[in-house]
Amino acid sequence: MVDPHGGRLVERVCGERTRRVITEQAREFPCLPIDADLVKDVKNICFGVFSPLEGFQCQDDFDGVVGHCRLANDVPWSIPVVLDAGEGFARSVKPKDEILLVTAGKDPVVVAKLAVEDVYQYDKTEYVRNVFKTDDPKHPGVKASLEKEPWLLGGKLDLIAEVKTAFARYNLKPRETRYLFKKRGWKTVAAFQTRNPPHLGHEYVQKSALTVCDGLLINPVIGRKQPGDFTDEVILASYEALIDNYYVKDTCALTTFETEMHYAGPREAVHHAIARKNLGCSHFIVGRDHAGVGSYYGPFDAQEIFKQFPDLGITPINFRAFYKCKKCGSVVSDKICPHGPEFQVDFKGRVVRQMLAEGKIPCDEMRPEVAEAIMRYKDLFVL
Amino acid sequence: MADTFKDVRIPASLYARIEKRLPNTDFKTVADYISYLVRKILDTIEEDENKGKKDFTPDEEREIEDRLRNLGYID
Ligand SMILES: [Zn+2]
Repeated sequence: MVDPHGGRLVERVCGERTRRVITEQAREFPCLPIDADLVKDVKNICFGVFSPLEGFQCQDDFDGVVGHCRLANDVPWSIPVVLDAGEGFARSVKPKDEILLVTAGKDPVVVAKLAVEDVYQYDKTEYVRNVFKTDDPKHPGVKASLEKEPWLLGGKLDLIAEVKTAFARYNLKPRETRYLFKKRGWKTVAAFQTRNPPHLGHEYVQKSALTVCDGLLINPVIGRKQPGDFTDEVILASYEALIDNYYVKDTCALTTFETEMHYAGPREAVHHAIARKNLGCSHFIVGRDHAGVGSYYGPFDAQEIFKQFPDLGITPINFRAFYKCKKCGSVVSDKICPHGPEFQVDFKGRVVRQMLAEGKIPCDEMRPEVAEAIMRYKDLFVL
Repeated sequence: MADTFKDVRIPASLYARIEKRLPNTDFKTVADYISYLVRKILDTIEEDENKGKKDFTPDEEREIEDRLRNLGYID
């Protein structure tokens, strides 16, 4: 099985006694409320999804990541993982202080302890231009970054409470997915990232990867969504239906990746690949405009960027285009079908959504069992 | 936030050999190409060093196995 990124799987979870002591003494620590996205980052760090990170990035790592996609120790890393804080709070803490990160809102839960190593400011414009290749505030990732507080706190984390989401049963930790792959005898595993229910094109891509890998990890991103996106429960139910009806037993696993989408295109594709490497995957499927939004990135930028990382330790499987070919009589990719555009029928996401919303099965695009599983839900889309 | 660099001396003959290959690659400079090659080689060496490490202790195996069974991932 592939090694974790940076060589070692990080696990930073407090033992029961430490947890009790810290929770009892919580009032004596400075507390910083964090939003749901940061809670997910904390979990991903502390359970090793973001190995080798042991905490939020200090300035040397941050500069390396923003400047040239490398941590200070030269390990590839493409999206900064940082904790922002307002000026008042930032000025009140210094290196070697310990602070508690708590959930925002009523009845705060102590999520983690941060041993502060670094308190620093950063140039937001340079940050967004490097990470997102644009400073257009209409870009959702740029907008979210520009709204962040002006100071960053770096340092190692220790998890105190695991805040669970509604889909905790799918949220396997790297040690669990790694054990599962080992148990099933999977030496090579292809990861498929998704934010949508599967149509026949997705199934074709996944099964193509399965012909060269021992196993397939379908790993939808669960997190903050845009209005109009399919809901998380619909995505999970649709995949359960596909796996039950169309996959050979024990060749496929469905687990979630709980994280915020940054829509940073190529850089985010590398970030997504690293997380899947930590889950134990050897291959990562990269489609057209992976993690892109609008027309900020070229359709194949996310495939090109992998050439910069000979030491990434996870192999991209690139798909340029897949569609139905009337001459071949099946779903194909541009690599295996010699026929012209007059025979090509593209998958039409909009039509599929429309038909599902009207309670009709889009037979040409989707397995009926998958469509039926989706239509069992009253609300298909995020409002 | 620019990358910082250090100087390394390599034999002129090796430099010439790499420079000759440069037009067949996507790299603009000898330094870029060398960095790429060294990272590629170091990654293989580091991977070999990690081989044979035990992934789980028997206690951990039992704990993970129970959880995966409860969640329906294994029979
Ligand atoms: Zn064809």
